[in-house]
Amino acid sequence: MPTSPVHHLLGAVRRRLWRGQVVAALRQALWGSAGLLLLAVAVHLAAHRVPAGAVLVAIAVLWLSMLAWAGTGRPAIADCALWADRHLGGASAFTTLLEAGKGTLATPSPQAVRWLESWATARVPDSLRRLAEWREAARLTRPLLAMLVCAALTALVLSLPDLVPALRQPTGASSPSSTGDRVAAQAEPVAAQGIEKLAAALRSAPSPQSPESSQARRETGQAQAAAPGKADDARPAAQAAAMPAGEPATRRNPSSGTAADATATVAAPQAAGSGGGSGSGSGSGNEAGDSRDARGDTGISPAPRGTISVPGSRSTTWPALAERQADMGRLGTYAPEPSIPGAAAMPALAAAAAAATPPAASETTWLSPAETSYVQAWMKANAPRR
Amino acid sequence: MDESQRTTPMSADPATENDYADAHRQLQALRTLLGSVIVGQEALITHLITAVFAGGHVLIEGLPGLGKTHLAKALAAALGLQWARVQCTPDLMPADVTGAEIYATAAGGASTFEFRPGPVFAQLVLVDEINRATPRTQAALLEAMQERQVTHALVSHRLPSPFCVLATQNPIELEGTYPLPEAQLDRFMFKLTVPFPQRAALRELLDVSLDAEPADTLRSVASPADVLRITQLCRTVLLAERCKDAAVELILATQPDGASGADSQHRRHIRYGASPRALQAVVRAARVRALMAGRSHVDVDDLEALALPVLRHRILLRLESELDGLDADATLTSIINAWRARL
Repeated sequence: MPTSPVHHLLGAVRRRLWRGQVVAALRQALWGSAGLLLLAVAVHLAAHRVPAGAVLVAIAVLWLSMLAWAGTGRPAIADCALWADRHLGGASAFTTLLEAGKGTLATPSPQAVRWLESWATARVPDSLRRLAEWREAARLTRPLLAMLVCAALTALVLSLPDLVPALRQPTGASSPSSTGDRVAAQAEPVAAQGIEKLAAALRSAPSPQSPESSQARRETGQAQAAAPGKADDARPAAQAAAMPAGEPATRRNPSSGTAADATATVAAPQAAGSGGGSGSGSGSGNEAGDSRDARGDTGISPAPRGTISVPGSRSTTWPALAERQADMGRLGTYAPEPSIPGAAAMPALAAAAAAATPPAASETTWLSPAETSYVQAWMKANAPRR
Repeated sequence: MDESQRTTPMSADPATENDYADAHRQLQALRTLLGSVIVGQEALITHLITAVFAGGHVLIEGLPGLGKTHLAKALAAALGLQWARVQCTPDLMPADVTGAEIYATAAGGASTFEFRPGPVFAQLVLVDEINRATPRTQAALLEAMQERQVTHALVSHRLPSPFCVLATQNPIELEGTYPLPEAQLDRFMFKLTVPFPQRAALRELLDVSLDAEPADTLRSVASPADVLRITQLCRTVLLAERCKDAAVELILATQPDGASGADSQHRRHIRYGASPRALQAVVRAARVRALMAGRSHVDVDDLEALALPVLRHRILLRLESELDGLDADATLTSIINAWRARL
């Protein structure tokens, strides 16, 4: 039962609250637009190309929904009265007057209601003055700036040429999802080529009874003893001892030929240092060859003791390996060549070779005295560290 | 205000708009008059008037010499009330307060026992240093304060209307005193503390009451009938749902068991919270305060202004909190501020 001045005041308050609601919706729409733009940038960079039209449509839907919410959410008259009581000096008069008009008050005295009406009417001019002086910050600057920055960033990213096509190509339905899976998928054909070459090399390998093979076996044993560099330092010797005598050295370790020119007495400390620092889980001959031949490799500094080898650095050592392997006959055949695409797949190749069934141990695979002395010297040199 | 007036709602509304204006005017005049003789105690005077017109009793606590007795005398004179004073001592007997039967001989020679009313039968009773009376005597006041009647020899004697008890107690010299039990404390609508006057008030006090007792020569601005009329008018003051919820929330905020949604940061100091009687008291007092402010409706500010005097003697703090130096006023102030911020 609001009187005319009170009704006028509550109408003004309702417009004021409605305007604040629209401003709040604008603020939320700005923040939401900034979020959508960032999301579009992230999707564009990580997953697939996002068309600009889709981004614009999403933002338009967001703005329309927020404005529709603000437009349809008309403040109730009770909320307006409560706001006027709280902020315009109403002292609960407008709320009480509304309740008296609705009949929700318990046995209201008509005289009290009339007194209340007159009191509230007298308060209206002052309340209107307070309402006119009421200032509330719109707080649109920060969301607006955020949306502008995000819009500029989105425009920049969407306008740039395709930066990472290689990452996007295997993102089809059947392609692996992670980067590691994609690299493995790229390495599969390379590994197959490597296996074929390995098989060809094995077919062309000399007889194990030949002097060449015994020399290669000794060298392989030296390389394996130098290669592991892990806690299990005695494993290369045992592995070499477990090799059958008839097996070619290349089969025991495909890349063991890279350590062909290493002598036991000279190379032991170096091999122990570099092998111990390699940290490679496979104990492959590649790394063993790296460490053993570091004295002949003028272009590469030997890895310091205790350092962990980075797999990506292997590609830089392949040319030197190729040069070294040029003197080593067939063993050099198994070193990966720089011309082979996907050289990074060599760990997979080595893993495939290591996964083969180990040959049965026999007396022919026992270490020679020189090898035994080498292993003992190497173990003695590494004893304090262990 | 007798019991029938307290329990029977107004069937016919005799009030007019002018009645509200007149009541507002009389309350303002009373406050101004008391403020002229009791210098520097405006808040105390306002609360005292509020309690009298809300039909409650007041416990005033303050140091000696702050004008408590003088205030009671001035209030009685300003309202034209019959007043009596009871100076409580440990040897004060209940009959000294409520009255006793005496053997009296009539003019014809017939002798009977007749009831001689005690000082509690005055309209405004000043019970000075109530905590020096024994619990037995204090209990004699219970029935008078709550039921507004005195029962003696199976006969109930109704107290006059309006009826108000102003009890004082001294916060110091507690040796030989009997602290009021919680049940009796709950019967006081307000517990008011008398602060020490400010410098300007002390200076003005010399001009007002140096050579004379102004309360003795005070002219009344209202009559006991006016007190009853205004008291009845206060019951028509409108109370919105929002204010009802706020009052309930205030009482719940003092409960230690966390019945309300308020934070437990301040509640954890409370051992016992306010009673439902406190809820009634705060709303009744808020109606008087609203009328004193010229309104016919209660505001949340009225509840806030009266929350502390209504609640301060109705809560019990935990012993740990008291040992930490916390008192009821500080705890309640925090609770009231948090409650007001939630509204």
